Amino acid sequence: MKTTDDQNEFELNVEGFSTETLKRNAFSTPEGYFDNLTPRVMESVRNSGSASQIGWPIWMKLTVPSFGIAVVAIFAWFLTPQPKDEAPDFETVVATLTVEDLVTYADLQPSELVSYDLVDCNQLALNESTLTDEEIFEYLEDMEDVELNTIIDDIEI
Amino acid sequence: MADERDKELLKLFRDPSSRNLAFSELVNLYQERLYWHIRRIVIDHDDADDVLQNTFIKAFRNLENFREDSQIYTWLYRIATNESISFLKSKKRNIFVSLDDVSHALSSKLEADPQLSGDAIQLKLQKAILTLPTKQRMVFNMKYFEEMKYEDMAEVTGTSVGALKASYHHAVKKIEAYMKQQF
Repeated sequence: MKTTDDQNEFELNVEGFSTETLKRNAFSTPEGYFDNLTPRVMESVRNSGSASQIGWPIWMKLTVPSFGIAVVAIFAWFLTPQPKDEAPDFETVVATLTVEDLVTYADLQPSELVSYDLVDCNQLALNESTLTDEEIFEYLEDMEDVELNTIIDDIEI
Repeated sequence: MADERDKELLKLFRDPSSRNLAFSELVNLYQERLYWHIRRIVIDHDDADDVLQNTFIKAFRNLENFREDSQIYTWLYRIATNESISFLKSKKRNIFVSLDDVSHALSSKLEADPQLSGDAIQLKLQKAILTLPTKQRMVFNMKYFEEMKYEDMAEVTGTSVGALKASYHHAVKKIEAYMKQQF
């Protein structure tokens, strides 16, 4: 049933062709694609590890990577010659590690380094290849408790 | 606002013993609509399949925390739209062109696509649509092919109904001008 809005609709007119013809689907799919789609999607969901991620407590998400960093930091501390009068603290040691070390040994993604406050955004020397949009979206979702931020700006007119 | 069916599905999903069943039902309900929405953006079938899988994976991860202030279907459309744009942006990074230059690449893909079954006029129409900026193209597809209400499109895009109507109007004019040139 047409609403008041639809009555003012702008019709696409192409001379010699009906709306029905124009709206006909130009694309096709492989035979049986939709018949097999649901089981394939459920398989993808299982394989993505999503089932195990639901219910992870936040304390586990924070402490497991922190433990990895602590191991790297202790390792670095033992290898770094220390001045006699100074006992470096954890933050000082972490500051000596490069972003690459933290990513490699603590198995963290660059976006996680920022969200865990281990590096400043500027240290990541952001370029297109460092952060993928996937990582950005995941970071935003984590930060805003699954509020999906639209990336659609003002529609161009 | 979520309707009764949405609420029932959410209730089943939030129960671990019926979660997979509820999600299968959700996939069954919306898979085709979401697929075609994505396909019209990314053009290629295999790419659309990948984006659709990612859309449902993301939906599965976040559905437990879904706030029932919108319908599940517009929420899913929002995820699918964002995933499609992410996909196009990753293509842009890989081939070092602007997002809208990707449209030229998509237009070439359209001509070579074995999963294109339309007549010449439909191919021309799809090429005309590809000349639109990506976001305007999405607005046009949602209104023209998917016949979505402006209010639902506003939920999907986070844009006002007025802006969407204006965008659609201009899209129609541009397409008509393109089609006139081609004949």
